[in-house]
Amino acid sequence: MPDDDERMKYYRSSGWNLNNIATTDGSVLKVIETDINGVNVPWLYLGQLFATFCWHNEDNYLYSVNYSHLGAPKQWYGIPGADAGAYERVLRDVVPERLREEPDLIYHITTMISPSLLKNNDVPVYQLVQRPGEFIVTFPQAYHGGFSHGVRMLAAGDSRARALAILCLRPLTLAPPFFFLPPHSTTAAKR
Amino acid sequence: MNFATSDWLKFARVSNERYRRFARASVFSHDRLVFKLAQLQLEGTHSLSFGLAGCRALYGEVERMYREERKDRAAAKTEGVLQSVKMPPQSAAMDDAALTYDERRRCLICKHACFFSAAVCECNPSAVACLRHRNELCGCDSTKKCLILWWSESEIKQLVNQLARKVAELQQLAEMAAAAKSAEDDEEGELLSVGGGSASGGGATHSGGAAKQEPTKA
Repeated sequence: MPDDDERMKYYRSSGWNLNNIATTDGSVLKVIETDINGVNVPWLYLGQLFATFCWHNEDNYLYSVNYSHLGAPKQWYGIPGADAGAYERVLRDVVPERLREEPDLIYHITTMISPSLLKNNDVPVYQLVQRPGEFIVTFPQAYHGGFSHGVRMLAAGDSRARALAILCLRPLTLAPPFFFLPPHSTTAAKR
Repeated sequence: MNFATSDWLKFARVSNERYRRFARASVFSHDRLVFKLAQLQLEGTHSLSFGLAGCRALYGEVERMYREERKDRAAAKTEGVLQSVKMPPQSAAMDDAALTYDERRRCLICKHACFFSAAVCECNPSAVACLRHRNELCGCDSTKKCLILWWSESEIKQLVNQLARKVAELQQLAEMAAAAKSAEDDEEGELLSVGGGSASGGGATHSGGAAKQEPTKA
């Protein structure tokens, strides 16, 4: 069908195709003429219920984009880039012994701190729920983390994107009724 | 999956400094990226032409690198590093070969990819240090050390100067465009208050022409 041909042509060249976004017009990463995994080559992620991605910001404080193909929603928490320092101060308070063992812990993406614990310590935390067909864009230096509501598939630079929607992080109105217990966090466990 | 617009540049600097503090290797050379982007700004208009704000950010970073190189090279010389080797003219391209090359010249201390220069010592031919960490490379005397220069000071300075001219040019263009715009607005305001039909057409053409003409002159 010509309609399908047109559609495929669009997906192949669209900047919203995650295979293309790093090198689309206006992206600084266009100058990188080689593949760097996860930076200008997209990954496909599969998630199951409560599969967690711990607090982190991007390599080199880059922007990031994530697309949900299908499956259950994904819960996101975000902290504005300008408040990255506030997050790290709380991290130091919550897991000081872990930071002594591994000073570069922030790069390990292995530590989750409850959003409500962060909020109680005056770190602005925002939340949103990503559903299939939706894009999430994270801004430079903005810490983000979250978990999956169930089985889902995300983020590939697959070219079947249909809905194009950028979501803005909205204020956290409901503190989640649960919190994560990092295996090494004593402070969180006490709560 | 990542991307970056020109406003990301200020974060690039901050994250690179942090990587160095944690001795964590960046996935690409910050210096190389900034240098390459700066070169591209001088190449005429294309999809990576940044405009005033982006060029200013690039200029700030290239100029900082230049100042640091100059300061550290002079300091090394004062400390007794007498030898330096200038490598043949380099490319700032970010292809596979270049990134592999950068992997081989990471500072032993902070893992920074030594793009402009590095310090080496005769005690260990395979280790290099960035100029910031030249004295932490080993315990040997400065006189046993040598600088490898991939870019000469004048090569870097040339780019800094060219970029400064580009920024000035863009600044002038922006000012002229703003002046033309405000002249046009004033004129429109006047004409509206007078309410002249044919004069309004003539006035608009005239100010439109001025707005178009002035930027091309610069």
